[in-house]
Amino acid sequence: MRITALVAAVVLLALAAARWLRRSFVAVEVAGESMSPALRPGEYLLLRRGGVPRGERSYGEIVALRDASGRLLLKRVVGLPGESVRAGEEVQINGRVLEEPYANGATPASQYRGVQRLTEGEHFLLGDRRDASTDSRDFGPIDRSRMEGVAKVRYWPPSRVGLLSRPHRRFVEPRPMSAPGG
Amino acid sequence: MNIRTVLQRALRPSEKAYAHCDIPCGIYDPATAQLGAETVEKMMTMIADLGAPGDDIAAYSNAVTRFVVIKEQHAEMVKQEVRIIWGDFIKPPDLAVAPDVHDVVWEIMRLGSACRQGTSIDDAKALRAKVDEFAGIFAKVKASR
Repeated sequence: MRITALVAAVVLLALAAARWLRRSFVAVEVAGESMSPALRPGEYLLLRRGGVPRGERSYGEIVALRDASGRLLLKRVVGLPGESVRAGEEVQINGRVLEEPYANGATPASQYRGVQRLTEGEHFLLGDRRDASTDSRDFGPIDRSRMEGVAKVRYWPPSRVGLLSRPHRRFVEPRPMSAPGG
Repeated sequence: MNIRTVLQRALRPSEKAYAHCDIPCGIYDPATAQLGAETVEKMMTMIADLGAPGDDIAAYSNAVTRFVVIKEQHAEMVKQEVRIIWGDFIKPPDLAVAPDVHDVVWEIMRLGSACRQGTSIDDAKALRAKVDEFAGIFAKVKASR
C-alpha cells in the first residue's frame, strides 16, 4: 500500500515537472555558425520562454526571436535600453569599447551601424561571428516583446551539457597616452 | 544503431533555431561601392583643402589622420563590394551582355589601390567613374536575366 502511494506520488511529481518544463521551456536545435563557438550547429538547447530580464542582467543573454518568414533566430544581447551603440571594428556602448571574449571575426564595413539611443524596451542584438551574422546591424534593434525565449541550458551533445552562463559586462580600459618619441 | 544515436533522436527538438547569416543568398547591390567611391573622392578633396599646416599642428594632424583613415577604409570597401558582385553574381553567360566586365573590375581594383596609396583627386574621380560604370553593367546583367 505504501509502495503504491510512493509510486503514485513519484508519477504525479514527474508529470507536474514535465508540465512545468513544457510551459516554461522550449527545446530547439541550433542551425548555423553565427553564434559559434558559444553555440555550435546540431546542439540542443532549452530556451526559457519569454524575454530577457530588465536592466543589466539582460546583457550577454542569447535570445530567440522570429524573423519575417517565421524562423527562429538566435542572437546575443549587446546593447540595452537607453544606451547608444556603435557596431564597427569594435562595439562601443555609450562611447566605451566593450570587451567581448565571445565575439570573433571582423564586422564588414558595409555592416557598420550606430544607434543614438535605444528606447525603452529596445535591445541591440549581435551574432558572435561578426563576419557572418545577420542581426541588429541589419534588422535594427529588437523590442523585448519580440523575444520568444532565452537560451539557458544545452542538453546535447553530452560533452557540452550544462547551463549557458552569461558573460560579465566589461569595458576596455583606455590606454594611457605615451609621450611623443617615447 | 548505438545508444547515443537512439538518445539523440529521442531528444531531438522539433524546431530549429537559426544562428547563421540569414539574408538569403542572391541579394547584391553596387550602391555600397558607389557610396564608398564617393566618400573616397570627398576625403581626397578635404585633404587637398587642408593646405599647409598652420600653427595648430595637433589639429592639423588630427584632421589629416581622420581623412586618410576614412579614405583607406572606403577604398578597401569599394574593392571588396565589387569583388563580391563580380565573383558571386556575375556568371560566365553574362559576358554576352557585359563583355568588358573583367576589364572594368580590374580597373577598379587598380584604382582602389591607387587611392589607398596616394591622395590624387584624379584617381578618386576615375575610381568613382569606373564604379558607376560597373553599377551600369550590374543593372544590365540583372535586366537580362
